[in-house]
Amino acid sequence: MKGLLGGLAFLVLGLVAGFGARDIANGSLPDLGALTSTIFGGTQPAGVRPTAQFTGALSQIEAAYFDEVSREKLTYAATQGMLDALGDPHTVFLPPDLATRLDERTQGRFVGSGGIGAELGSHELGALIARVFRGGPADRVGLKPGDVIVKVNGNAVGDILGAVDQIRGEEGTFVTLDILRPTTGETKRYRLKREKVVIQDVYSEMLDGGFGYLLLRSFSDTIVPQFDEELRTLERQGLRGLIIDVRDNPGGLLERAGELVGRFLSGKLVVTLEQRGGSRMPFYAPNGLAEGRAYPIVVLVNEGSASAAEIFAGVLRDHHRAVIVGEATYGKASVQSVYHLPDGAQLKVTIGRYYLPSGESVQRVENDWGDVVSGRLEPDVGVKNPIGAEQGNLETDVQLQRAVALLKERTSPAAMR
Amino acid sequence: MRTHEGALLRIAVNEDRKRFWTVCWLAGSLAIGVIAGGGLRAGYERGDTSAFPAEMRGAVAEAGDRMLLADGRPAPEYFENVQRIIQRHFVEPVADETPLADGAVKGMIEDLNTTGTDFYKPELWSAMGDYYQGRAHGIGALVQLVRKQRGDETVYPLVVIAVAEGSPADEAGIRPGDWIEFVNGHWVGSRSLRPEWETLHEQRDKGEITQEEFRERLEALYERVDTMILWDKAMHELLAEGRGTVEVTTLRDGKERTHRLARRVMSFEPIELSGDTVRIRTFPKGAAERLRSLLAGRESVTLDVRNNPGGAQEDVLEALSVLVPSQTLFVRQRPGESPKALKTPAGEPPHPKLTVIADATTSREAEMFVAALRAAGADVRGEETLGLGIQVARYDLPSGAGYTVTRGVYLDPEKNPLLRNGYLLRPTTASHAEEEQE
Repeated sequence: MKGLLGGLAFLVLGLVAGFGARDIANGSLPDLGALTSTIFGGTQPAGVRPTAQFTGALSQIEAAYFDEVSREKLTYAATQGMLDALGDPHTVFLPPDLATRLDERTQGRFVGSGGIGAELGSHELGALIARVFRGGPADRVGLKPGDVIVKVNGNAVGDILGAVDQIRGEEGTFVTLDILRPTTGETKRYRLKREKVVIQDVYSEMLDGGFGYLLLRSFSDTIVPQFDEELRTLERQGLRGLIIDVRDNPGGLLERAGELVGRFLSGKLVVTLEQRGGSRMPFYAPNGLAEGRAYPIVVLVNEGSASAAEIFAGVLRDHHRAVIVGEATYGKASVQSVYHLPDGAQLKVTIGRYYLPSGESVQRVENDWGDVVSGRLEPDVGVKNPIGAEQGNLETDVQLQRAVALLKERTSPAAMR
Repeated sequence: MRTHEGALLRIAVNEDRKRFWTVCWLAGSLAIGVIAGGGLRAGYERGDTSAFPAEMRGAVAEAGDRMLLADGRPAPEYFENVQRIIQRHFVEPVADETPLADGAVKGMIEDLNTTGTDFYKPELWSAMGDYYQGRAHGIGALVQLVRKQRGDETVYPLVVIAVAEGSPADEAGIRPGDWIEFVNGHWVGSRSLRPEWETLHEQRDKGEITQEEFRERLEALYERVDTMILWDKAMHELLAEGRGTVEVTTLRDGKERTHRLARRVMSFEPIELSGDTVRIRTFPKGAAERLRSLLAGRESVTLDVRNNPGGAQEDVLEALSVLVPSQTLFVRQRPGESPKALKTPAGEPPHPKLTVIADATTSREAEMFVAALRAAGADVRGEETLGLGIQVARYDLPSGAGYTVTRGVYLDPEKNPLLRNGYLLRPTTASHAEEEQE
């Protein structure tokens, strides 16, 4: 057995599936099953042997090419090239340096995990503070969305990634920011203590007429309590209709999206995950958390809404609990398994696809012209936002205006009868 | 978004998107999409973080060690193991591994990011090969992806290097030297759009254009990036598709021209005598034999090598042996090393008195041909050749696909490179590629 496993010659460290990971982890570890079954059988695919062709071409390139080549770099390029040929944009190879950097970013393992609790965007004069996390260092000193960081520790802000690197640091240390407030034209210097920051995923605002606006930035691990708190805050103010904004929400954890669905739909089917070989695994929303919520819901989506965000919107729609307004979504409906290679590289392989309760797959499929031929979640009410529209600002956000108008219709005395 | 092949083209454009939509999470947070707009998806994509990695250490394999060499670099087994993972776990079983094998070669070739180092799918590879033998497909032209210096930036135009006489391209007035900009309305991604994006903002800030105009033009710019196709797709549509029509927009002297062409297959004579002039349109296999028979008994002849994209080096050298005594040219290979001599084969006297007509439509190996003839004392007339004198090796793959590897740059006997006029082997600013990795 040891020998057989040895023949596999790779290191499976984790099923960091797009979502459904917990299901799989708590369940039957289908990946391991597939793995062992293929050891004991399986047919040899037809065609040219990739390894033979790869080594042959590598030698020819080394011999012919006018300059020195890096075997390492070419091996990685060949690996990625092979994966590209599968035609699945989510099956990717991350060479060691990229994998390390992504790990640092996604898991916060970089030296100095402290930050100021804000989300940045680019701006001609520096780095724009796009959002401020409630209660974080930036919030406490009074920084506001729209402020511009022009200097960090006295150094002018070049590109945004550079600014991020300078702002981050060890928890408990200080960073000095020169902040321009465009509304007043004044620049002031602030000294902030870096802290461990919990990402704020949920923002809420009460609009006129008892319509609540909930912005979900991503479905990270800590979203549920934030969501409950913000929703309760809105409900205490007499919520008559709810707008949930998942525009530019890139997704996150399926199980979190499922829990949030449970706030509005009790025990309903969220998605069905289909694995290689056709095995299907359903995933349900929790029970007993949706009571007393009869108000109408509009979900806002756009091309930046992906995976868990698409599920969240699609499930509410499929069970007739929400109307989707905005633009067609990105279209990601697959689950990846991550293989850690011994040099630190990572291989993400699509091992399953999920389907909405309606049976629909939102997986984006493109032809070789780049046209989307199937997939994506189409809105019930299609509305495009003009360039320059500021999301969440009722004056310019046409999609939000439409959502409010829909809620007004649905809560009008005529509609209620 | 298209998949990530042809990364170099994409990168030039992506850099713009990065600038437009960079939205970073600060402070020990998830880097979910350093980009919101979809530009940076090359390395990692959205929606795939989970806090629950299922530990599967039980499956750790000892042979994993063999994937690396003693110095930690990947061994051939490395690739093989990735391929096995795909074979066993990818959601769709892989029935035929040929595309994966070709994809691996394509990946390496594109990673080198060099003019003349290209991968071609089977239909395109055979269509291109056919052109040299006198059979033109599609619009009846030959196109080459190049790197070129323009101001401070490197651009990646698809340059028309030859047009078959009487072909659809010829009838529409497409000429060697034209750049292909759009195919069926899809932009081919020949440069970074950043300068245009910046100009647009400047014009708005100075009040030279109205907000409305600004939005319209910005939308058009986004649209262009969103509907962009890769160069090999464009080339396939132009050269490998045998039927139907195709709309192509070319760029010449800063002016765009759009043509709708009916594709067809046509034949032409690669080497032909008319009056006292031998037209050499390409260097096919057996070019030397053909020349020998056409020149038999002639004391002087004019060779017209305009609109000629060269051919296999061996065919060109053999053709030279029919015309002139052995000449010494050079090839510069490794940067910093001294050029290597390239001796053309000894010819068989008597050699005719030669007049050569060449111009900027004379390219690739044909430029080396002209340089050798000039060195042998031929009277070379016309204009300077294109400046794309690169030496390449051509390789066939079992699937019918093929690839070329740049061996070096041809030099004339005075060791002047035949690569000039801004043509580059590799982009001078590697910054695009480097930044993309960030």
